[in-house]
Amino acid sequence: MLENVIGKRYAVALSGSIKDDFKLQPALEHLRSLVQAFEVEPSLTSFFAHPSIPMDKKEALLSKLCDRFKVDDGVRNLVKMLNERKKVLFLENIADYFESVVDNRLNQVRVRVLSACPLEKKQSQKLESSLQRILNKNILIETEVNESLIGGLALEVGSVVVDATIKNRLAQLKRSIEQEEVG
Amino acid sequence: MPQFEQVSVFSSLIFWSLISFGLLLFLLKKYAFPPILEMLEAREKKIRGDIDGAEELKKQAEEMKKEFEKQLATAREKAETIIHLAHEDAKKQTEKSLADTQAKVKQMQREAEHEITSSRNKLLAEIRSYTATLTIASTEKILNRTIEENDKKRLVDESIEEVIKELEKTHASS
Repeated sequence: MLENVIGKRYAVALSGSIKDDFKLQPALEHLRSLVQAFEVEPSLTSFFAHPSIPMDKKEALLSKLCDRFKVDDGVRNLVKMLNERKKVLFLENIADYFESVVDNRLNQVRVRVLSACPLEKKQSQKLESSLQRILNKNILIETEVNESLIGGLALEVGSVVVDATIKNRLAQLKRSIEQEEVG
Repeated sequence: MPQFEQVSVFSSLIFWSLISFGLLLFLLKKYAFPPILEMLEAREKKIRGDIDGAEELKKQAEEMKKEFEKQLATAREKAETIIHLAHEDAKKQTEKSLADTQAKVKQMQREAEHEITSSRNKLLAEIRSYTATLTIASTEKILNRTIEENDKKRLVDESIEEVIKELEKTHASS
């Protein structure tokens, strides 16, 4: 609950500090890179959570990370502020909220497509154009191949999931067999 | 008669005898008879009183007897009522006990039937689940083995149509 409040507050603040819409997507990518660094290197979490490590050392490490990922000034300032306020560990929540803020500002929606085989360009374009028409927003398709789906594809648009995979059909069939009444 | 020939001899004797008899009678009447008569009267009164008392007692005894008989009749009536009520109670108790036993038996029967039905349903559900799992697993294996690349492409095309229709429906209703 608290992390959601903090994530939302700083994400909105970062969005407010970036006036140019074109800089939003790079800022999000930079935030994601920093979050990924924390995921890949768990010792970073311990380092920033440790109360006896001086703030300047933490700031120096954050600065190095920002240099490595060539983070722009907006995100760099945010990270510095988070370090001063001991909120660096909420970076992931901030990134998640910032993603939704960016999507809102750019009138775009992220669609996760799970399919049994890689989508052809034509299929991907058809899907994108149809979704654009239905949702009246720019579509960002994130594809993922999962052979265990056997055939077909499934979509995740925000909280809405539409599953048209063979695996789901078989699961429905299994449920109907299990629930079938025997006279 | 020679006796009467001697009257002149005994006339004074007879006279004095008569006088003394009269005197005795007078004295008796004056002093002896009244207390005797009083005593006799008192005795008579006492006897009459005793008889009256006895009559009264007899009456009382008869009344008491009647009262006792009445009480006895009431007591007998009460006893009969109590016996009748006891019979009724015993009958009711027996009927209640019979009804309770019947209800318990029915409840036990129902529970047994429920248990049998539950076990049957559980078993059927397990069989259905096992059959479903087996069927789906076999189908998955067969599909994985038989689906070609073209089929996969066609399935994706069909799925795109399906998800678009579904999303249109969802979007229209929201």
